[in-house]
Parts: sequence; C-alpha cells; structure tokens
Amino acid sequence: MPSLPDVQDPVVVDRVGKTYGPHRVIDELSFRLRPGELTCLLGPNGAGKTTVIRMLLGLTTPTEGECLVGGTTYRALARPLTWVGSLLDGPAAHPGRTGRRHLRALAASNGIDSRRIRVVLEQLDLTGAADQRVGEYSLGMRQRLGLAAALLGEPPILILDEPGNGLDPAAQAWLRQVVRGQADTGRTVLLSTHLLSEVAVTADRVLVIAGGRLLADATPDELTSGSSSLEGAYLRLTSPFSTHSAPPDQPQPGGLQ
Amino acid sequence: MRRTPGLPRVSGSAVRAEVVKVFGLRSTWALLLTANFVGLVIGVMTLHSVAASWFSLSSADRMGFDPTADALTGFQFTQLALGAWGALVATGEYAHGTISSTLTAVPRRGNVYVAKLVVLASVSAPLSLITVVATWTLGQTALRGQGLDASWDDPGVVRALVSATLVLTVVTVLGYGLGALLRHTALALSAMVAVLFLAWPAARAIESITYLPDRWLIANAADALVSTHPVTGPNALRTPTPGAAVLEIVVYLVVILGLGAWRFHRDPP
Repeated sequence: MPSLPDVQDPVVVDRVGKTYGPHRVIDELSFRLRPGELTCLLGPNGAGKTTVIRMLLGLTTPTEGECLVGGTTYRALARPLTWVGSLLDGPAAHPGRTGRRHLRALAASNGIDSRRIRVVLEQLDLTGAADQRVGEYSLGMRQRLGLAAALLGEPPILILDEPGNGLDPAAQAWLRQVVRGQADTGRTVLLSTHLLSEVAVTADRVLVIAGGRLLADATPDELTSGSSSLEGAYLRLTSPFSTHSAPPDQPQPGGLQ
Repeated sequence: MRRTPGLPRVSGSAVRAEVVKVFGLRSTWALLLTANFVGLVIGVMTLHSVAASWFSLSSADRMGFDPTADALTGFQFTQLALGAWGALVATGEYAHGTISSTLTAVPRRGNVYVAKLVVLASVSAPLSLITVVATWTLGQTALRGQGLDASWDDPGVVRALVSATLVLTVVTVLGYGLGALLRHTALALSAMVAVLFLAWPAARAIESITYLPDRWLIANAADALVSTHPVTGPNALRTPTPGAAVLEIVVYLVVILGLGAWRFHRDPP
C-alpha cells in the first residue's frame, strides 16, 4: 500500500451555517478531525448530519463559513476520489448499470488504475456480483458497492453517511472492523450514524449534533461518565431536540437531515 | 450565480466517465437503434408511396414534391427519441439519485455538464449522419423507376443531408438542456414535446395577426434547411430563410443550454 499523503488538518469545519428558506439547518458548527482517528457524527433524525457531510463533499453550498478537506474545498480537488472516499445515503449507482461499470466510470473520472476495481470488488466480496445490474442487488450489496467506490482511490480521508444502513448484524460487525482498520492505518474517518452500538464499539471520538448545533465533542468514555450508559448520555443531550419527548412549546429543529 | 469567468472547461477523464456510463445502459442502445430504424423505414416507405401513386397525384402535389426533403419525413420520430435520450441523460441522474455520486467524482459542475454534452453530441451526430444518408440513398432507389430520384450533385442535396444531421444533433442537446433545467423526466419530456411539436398549432392559431412565431418553430427552421427547392404555397410564409433558420437554431441552443447550465450549477437535491 502506498504511503498516505501527509495531511495536517484533513477535515476542518469552520463556523458553518446553512439556511434553507426559513429553516436554520446548521448553525455555527465547527470541528476538526485528526488523522488516524475514527470519529462518529451522532445525532437524531433531522439533526443535520447529512447536510454536514454533503457540505464537506461540495454537494451543498454552506450559507456561511467553510468546509475544508485536505486543506482545500472539495470542489478544488483535482482527483477527489484519491483524497476523500465517500458513501452517501441512498443509491449511488444507476440500477441499469452493472457494479463493475459503476466503478469503471468512477475510476475513469479520477484517473484511477483500473486494477483497483478488481481489488475493491474482492475486498467487499462483490466479485461474483460484479457483472449483475445494480437493480438486482440487495440493500446490503448496494451498500457494499458504495463502500467499494469509497475505497477505490485509496483515499486518506473517508466520509461515510450511515454506512450500516441495510447491513445485517454480521455485516455490521464486519463493517466496524473495516472502518476501524482504515483508521488504524492512519486514515481520517468520519462516520455518521444514529445507531448507538456502532459508536460505543468503534469510535475514538464522538460528535453529538442536534438541531444543527454541536452538543458534545468527546470520547465515548467521557460521554458516558455521569450517565449510566452511553444511551442515557445521548438521550439526555438530545432530548430537547427529540421529536418523541419535546414539550409542545419547544421549537422543532428544522427540516432536511 | 457564482461562476468562474471564461468558458467552462471539460476534462478528458470526465468525458471518458460519461462514455462508460452512457454505454453501460441497455436502454441507450435500444432507444438509439429503434429511433434511427423508424426514421429510415418511414422515409423510405413515404417515397415508395409517392412513386406508386405519382400518376394520380394533383399537379400541385407533384410541384411540391422534394425527393430529398420528403425522404427525411420520418425523422420527426427520430427527433422525438433523440430529444428524449438527451433529456434522460440529465434527468436520470436526479431520478436515480446518482447525481451525488457523479458530483463527488467530478465536483466541478461545469465539467460534468459539458462532458455529458460532448458525449451526446458526438454520439448523435455521426449516428444521425449514417441514418440520414442511408435513408436518402434507399429512398432515391425507390424513386428511380419513375425517374423522380435526386442525385448527389443536385443543388441543395448535400446541404439538406448535413442540415438534417445537424437538426437531429441539435434536438438531442436541446432535450439535454431541458432535462438539466427541469431535473425531472416527465417535465423535461413534456417541455421538449411542447417546444418541438405542440408549438405548431399555437403558432398557427395567431396567423391572422403574425407569421413570426411560425418562422421561429424548430420544425419550420428545419424545413427551410432541408428543402432543396424554395417552399411554395401557404408554407412559404411560415418558413424562415435558411440564414434566419441557422440564427434561430443558435438562439435555441444558447438559451436552453444556458438555462440548463445555470440550473446544473445549483446544488443538487
């Protein structure tokens, strides 16, 4: 494996805000990630996790502030897949294309050696399904294809939105291992989730966000101290933003996740 | 709108990626082959019918017969299909949610927009040229028995065939521009059908006031370029001069592709 490029501040979110019409989705959000660290972005539905990730990937333009990856904005990266591997919520590949075609298009767009396609297909256990159309894939296979795409360019930074979605427990355990392994080889990994179990086992650091604001930035142990469990700590932190327990006069956090 | 000054740049790698994507779909092949085959069959059959009924046609119909332009009548179907293909290349990304994946691979949006445009035009133009020339050649064979056929070196024939190819290519990229602008397959297809076909009765409805909208129809601009002898009768008022027709097509391209580019630069959903 080639050595990773030395990135001082792999991911910087600096006083970022995002407003959609009357909805304040992200408010004055700042954090930095360190290489070799696995960070979990944790929060309830509608917290703004996906918006943060889409801003980091240049898909959503922040209203204020800036998001930097590898020291620059994502849109300024010449071969972004060799810097940042990403997995987004929802389908990434056209159902009419085969998995191999999907990866081939991505490799072509970033000048990635086509031998990498075989490597990631093997790594994600998709070799047998590579020439099937993505429309015939199960949810778990689609998720693995998304991970294969993220690893295609051997990037030093990984940004994964809800990577555990659609995976069965065995696959979840396998995912934790893969993600942990990526961080242990010096990569910077940001993973969003609303599943608490993933966090407790894997993360070096947890960022809790709700209502578009950062509520906590701590290790899982720090977060748990003072509460009986991580779940207790999480529920206590996010209860003002929860749709289940908010009192009627409490303003609800706006809109898009 | 924030944009870097100058023309949008397109990279070879972005174009290669779009080629892999476009030809990885069975629907692309099915649509292109069907559309061109239908255009060819209708054109050749039309000339067969004319040749078979030539002696029973009125003298006005015989005067109006154009062995080149009439060979290309089936290409309205081809236009519809190519415009739909162009629209789908843009709207498919939104319908299937793949636009996010596309833009994380190539984050400069102008680069993606132009790469898709380049692929569409460079597939549509040679394919259309082959079908147009094949249809014309087979069509003239059908007319030979009656001595009605045109030949290569007749005035206007080469211009007509090149223009027909150009119009098919233009319609493909106009469909794409509408798809990028509207981001929705049903809306884009409706808009394209409205611009290409349904504007015709609307323009006719106000002919008592002006013929100007008629002359701005893409179909009539195409007629002006494809006819090998001057258009006569009531259609003469509806048809622009060849120079005006070229200008109109350029205006359509600039406006619709410009609107598509503007929307494509905005954040995806």
